Amino acid sequence: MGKALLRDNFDLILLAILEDGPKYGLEIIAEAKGRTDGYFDFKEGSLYPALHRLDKAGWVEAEFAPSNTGGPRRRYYRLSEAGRGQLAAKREAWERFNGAVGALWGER
Amino acid sequence: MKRSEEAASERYLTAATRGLWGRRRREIREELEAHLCERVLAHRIGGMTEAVELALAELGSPQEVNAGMIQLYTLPTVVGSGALALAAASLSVALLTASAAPALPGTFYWPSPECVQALEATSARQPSQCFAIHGTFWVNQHSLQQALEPQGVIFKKLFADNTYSAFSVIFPRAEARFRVTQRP
Repeated sequence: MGKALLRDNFDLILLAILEDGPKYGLEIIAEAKGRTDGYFDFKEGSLYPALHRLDKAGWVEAEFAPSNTGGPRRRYYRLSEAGRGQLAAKREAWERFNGAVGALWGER
Repeated sequence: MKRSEEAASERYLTAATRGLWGRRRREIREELEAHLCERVLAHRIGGMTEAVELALAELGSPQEVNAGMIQLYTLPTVVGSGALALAAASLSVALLTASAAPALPGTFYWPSPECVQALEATSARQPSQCFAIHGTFWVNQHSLQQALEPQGVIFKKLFADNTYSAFSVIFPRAEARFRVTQRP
């Protein structure tokens, strides 16, 4: 995926990953990679500022919880109600865009 | 963890949280430390002897995380419908001081997509020179300021320490292009 396309849709992707439950940073990276066969390979340098931006916007709620590996506490991100609304709106916009592009291809 | 590995981890965490303060800094540091520890643990379980070195390499440049956090938490945001024109014309940047960053690498236009692409292209060739992330980038402060101020761009210093300064940069008009060339 091109950098511009990823940047424009980063919020949608992160919100979608968090839809089925709270996750911490490394888990988000692993899930994004695993669920897309490696297509999304997020780097920490862009992931953490983006997660904090979603937190600041009120779309996710973050809280520390103990790690099951005995290491330092993990910071888990949970989708807020506002975040669910954003996810629905962004998903609808994406599907409309995708449908419109598909319709153009279908005309050939 | 060996002393050298501890020092390398500490350097990463310090660089990633530089310029942040109080609880915010502690929380981001703790979050990144947990991330680093989990990567190290996974490599050790996998039998890697250089687990810390490998984990730090995977985390990439701490300045990239730092630039994103600085932009999010320490630089002012222009809000309100009446300020839309100003918002379109102003960007916030975190700049390395002259001693820490080389001069601008070439000619580009900013703010514009071409600028970001140019910086990214430069970064790919010479990672130590500069990089771009979501409108925040690290370049030589003085060369940027010298190039842009004569064109009406205003630099307002927000704070500074021995390593870098943070500025709010206000452009005289929206969607303008500013030519920045490397000084001989």
